[in-house]
Amino acid sequence: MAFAHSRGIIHRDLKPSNIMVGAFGEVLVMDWGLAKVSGSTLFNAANINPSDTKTRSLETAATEHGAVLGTPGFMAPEQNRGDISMIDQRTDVFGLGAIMNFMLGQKIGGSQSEIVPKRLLAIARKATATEMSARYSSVQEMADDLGRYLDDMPVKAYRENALERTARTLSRNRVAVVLILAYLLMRLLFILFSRH
Amino acid sequence: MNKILLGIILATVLGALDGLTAWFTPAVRSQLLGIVFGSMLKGLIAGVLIGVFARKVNSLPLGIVFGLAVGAFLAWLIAFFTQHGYYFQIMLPGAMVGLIVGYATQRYGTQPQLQRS
Repeated sequence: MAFAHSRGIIHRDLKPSNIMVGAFGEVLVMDWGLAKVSGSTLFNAANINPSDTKTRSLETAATEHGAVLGTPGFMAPEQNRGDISMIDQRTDVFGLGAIMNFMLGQKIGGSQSEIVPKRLLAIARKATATEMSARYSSVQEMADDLGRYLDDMPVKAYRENALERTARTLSRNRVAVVLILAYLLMRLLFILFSRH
Repeated sequence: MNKILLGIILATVLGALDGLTAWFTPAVRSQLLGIVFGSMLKGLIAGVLIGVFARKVNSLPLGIVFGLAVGAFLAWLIAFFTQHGYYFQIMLPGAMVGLIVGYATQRYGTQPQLQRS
């Protein structure tokens, strides 16, 4: 998606049924029929003749203000309103966040689950924020945060308190903690033994 | 922090802590300063050896075994030449310190950056 956005193409219809996993684990994003192209990028990237009337008519039909294009449940608020001029890559960020919620079994704006880790939920919630300015500014930013979550590092979407940060640090360094505790326990036993 | 420096700092600090616990053994309390100094020196040597090993060999199991062996051997030397006894009380903690330093240098230390010609 970051690649598509770098070419000025917004998918606008990201949902679970439009994502497939290939035989070798590669992820394929399907159905670009509702994709929006920004400015003249289309003509540069796809080498399409601007005077081609079919292309121009498609472009015109897709950008009519008020047109509601997308899938309910995965559409960003600006898509729901038909506010075409507001649609940008953050609209696709919303779509990805909605897919995350779907995978986590969450409803957008619903109550917090006890099972799903808070940091992961926070990423999904940030991606599906109603205000565009509150979302991740790009798909890459969201991907980076997910990467940090998978590496058990702090994520931008969630501010940890001291206890949570300590627990996470201890969890990441479990073996070292166990070794040091074992050493201290051994030392304590030696001290107690020497007193007798 | 590079592996050698990490090994030196960790082993020296643990060695000092190790030496300080000799205070709880009344028989050797009078020699506490010498014990702490010797323990720190042992830690320094162990840290260098384990750190260098970690730099050359990128293997967690081997790093742990090497650290364990170095820690136990240096502790044995101290027990043999200075304490004339207390082998178990000196070698076991020494081996554990070596094990911890071996693990830490493999897991946390950074390798030097390769320079392109």
